[in-house]
Amino acid sequence: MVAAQSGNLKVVEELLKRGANPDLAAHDFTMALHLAIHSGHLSVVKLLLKVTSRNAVLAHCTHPKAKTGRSLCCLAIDGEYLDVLKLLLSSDLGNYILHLPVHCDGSLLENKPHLGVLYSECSPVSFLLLTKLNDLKDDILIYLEVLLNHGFPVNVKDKQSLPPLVAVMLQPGCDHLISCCVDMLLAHGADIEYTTICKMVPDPLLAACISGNSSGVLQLLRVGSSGLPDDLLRYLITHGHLDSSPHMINMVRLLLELGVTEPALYSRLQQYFPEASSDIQIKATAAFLASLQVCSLQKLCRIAVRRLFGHLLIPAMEQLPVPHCLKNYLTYKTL
Amino acid sequence: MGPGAMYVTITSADGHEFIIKRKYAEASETFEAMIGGPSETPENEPLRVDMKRYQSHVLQTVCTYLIYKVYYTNSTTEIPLFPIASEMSLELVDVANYLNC
Repeated sequence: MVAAQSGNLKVVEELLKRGANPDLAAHDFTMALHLAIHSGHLSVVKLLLKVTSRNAVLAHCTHPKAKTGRSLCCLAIDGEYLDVLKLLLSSDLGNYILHLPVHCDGSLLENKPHLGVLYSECSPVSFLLLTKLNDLKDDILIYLEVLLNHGFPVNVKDKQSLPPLVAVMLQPGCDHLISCCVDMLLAHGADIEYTTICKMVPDPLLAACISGNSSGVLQLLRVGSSGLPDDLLRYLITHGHLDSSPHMINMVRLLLELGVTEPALYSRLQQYFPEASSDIQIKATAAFLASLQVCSLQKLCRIAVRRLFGHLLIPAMEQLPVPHCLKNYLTYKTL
Repeated sequence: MGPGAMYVTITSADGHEFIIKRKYAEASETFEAMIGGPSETPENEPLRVDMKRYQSHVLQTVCTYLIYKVYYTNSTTEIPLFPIASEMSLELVDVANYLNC
């Protein structure tokens, strides 16, 4: 195992020749294969894939007490070894082993404790999007394409699994990259209407909102997510997500721009943006708030239309006899 | 009467006329431009706005909204929700965009 971790092909070969058993695992259910993958030694991984029995991999990876070793793909992703990942996908391990999720423990969702409670499993695609967006930058698109083209699921079946579309929305910043990932996920059939947390708002939209990911919220609404600004704002207020971070202030400004129709929500916001605050941005928002207190008829109607059509808005827009500029307005292409 | 009139008459496609106070009509930027511009309204004629592209049930909601808007803007009292009938919402968003209100 030590030889596998350090990538010493000759030593591994020699040990196997002398009868070392590649199917054995350490007390944490980690096998030599796991260590070779996580340290990115392509030739050793190749050799071990040949000699390790599939049943042993299956037994150790799915053991209830196995933690980090559950998903071989996540190990390759974590180490950022694209060649090892591709090798795993082309191996004969089978999709069951390849698609195994990892447990979402505190470290994966450290900034989102409230979501850590809701989701306890993370598929390789979600793992990639959740942990590697900032590290891999543009290269993440290559990884994502490899996984999706291999047939990794873009949607989840269990309530405790973190959907990829939610995972990608959890990180503000990297706007362009997130937008590309979302496009790719949607092209593979990701469900923007997947709803488990709050019955009024789909999970991906809610995740983007809680994370202060304004451009993500706008992108999801533009492609037809059915959540309404009122419901998003009410969720932020009632669950105590409003803080004075720039991301959250921008989020609230965006929601107001999209149109908040419920007057009672404004009074809650007036407590959120204290007038006496020394922060210029907060003061500006308070002034901005006063001018918006009576929602314009256009925004009221836009929200009524979106409420009426729900997730069918985008297909309905194709059919409706309304001018192009109005379609852009209703789909939030123009604010 | 004439350019300085206190009231504005709005005419709909189905021949209804809505007479509202000028200050309410001016809550719409488009109405304001229509009645504030170089007007050809003779001194003894009422101020008219042609909205013959739109039906009266839509214009009625528009008029109610304009009054709501003027009444509650900068108001310290609790503001009620302005109700929009969902079946009318699509027609209404069109006229609201036109009127810019």
